[in-house]
Amino acid sequence: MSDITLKPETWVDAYGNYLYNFAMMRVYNSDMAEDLVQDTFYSAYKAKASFLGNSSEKTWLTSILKRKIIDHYRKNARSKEDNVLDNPEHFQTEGILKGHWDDNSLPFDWGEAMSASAMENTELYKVVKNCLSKIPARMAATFTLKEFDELSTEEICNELNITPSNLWVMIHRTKVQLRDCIEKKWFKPDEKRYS
Amino acid sequence: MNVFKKLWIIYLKATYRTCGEATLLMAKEECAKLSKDERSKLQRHMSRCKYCNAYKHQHEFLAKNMDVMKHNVEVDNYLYFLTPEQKERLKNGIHLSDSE
Repeated sequence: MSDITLKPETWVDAYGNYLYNFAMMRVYNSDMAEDLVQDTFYSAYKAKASFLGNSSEKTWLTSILKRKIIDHYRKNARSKEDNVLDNPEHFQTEGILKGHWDDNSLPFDWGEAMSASAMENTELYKVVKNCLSKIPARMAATFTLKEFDELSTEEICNELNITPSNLWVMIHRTKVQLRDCIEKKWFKPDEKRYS
Repeated sequence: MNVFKKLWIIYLKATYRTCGEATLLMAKEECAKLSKDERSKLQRHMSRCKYCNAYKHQHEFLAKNMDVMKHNVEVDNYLYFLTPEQKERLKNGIHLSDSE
């Protein structure tokens, strides 16, 4: 028998902001994050009889939300897989430098912008989130599951029904697009440090 | 293009990865173990490509930024807050499931 008594009437005030932030960091859309939290509360309420009390109420609700987020990724994972190795928007597609950085996408030294204080910069994080929201859902999902949830390659492949080589390519393309987007949104063009 | 230049390019392609391949190997390295050949070619590429090194450092920095944000949420230092309207909708949702 559980020692912890569930109190659904307190869930929104006690865990609403936590669950909302948890979702916002993974789906990049406030309406979708709210829907997922709503769905979590609904499912938790329906399943309250199955709560064994082995974990805290917060941990239990978070585990339900995690499942909802992965289901959301799966539903949005219908986009056609892209097996192209090099994204033509970022790497040269012909000539002697084929496969090397395109002149418009050359990564530059972020210098001072990578200071310890910038690491805690919430505005930078908002730019990251905004850039991820513009990347195809399935690609952004692989990145999020890897970086945020620290899932293993096998777990991500099972959850999203992809092969390991698809995963590397998707993470690669997400990272290339992400840094390009951040450079365009976070830095001004004349801040480029390589001539 | 003269023969020497062609041979030089063939040598470079056989020895060094392109930036596209090097960045893909970086992504692969996060998910799996690279073969000896892949690791050695990636190292050779990284030893002379300032752009791919900048790319690598940028992602290390972004990963740290995201770690900080994730940690903030865990310690209830939130970036986003539910509005009173959103809270009301969520509470109503729970009441609705109560009445079903």
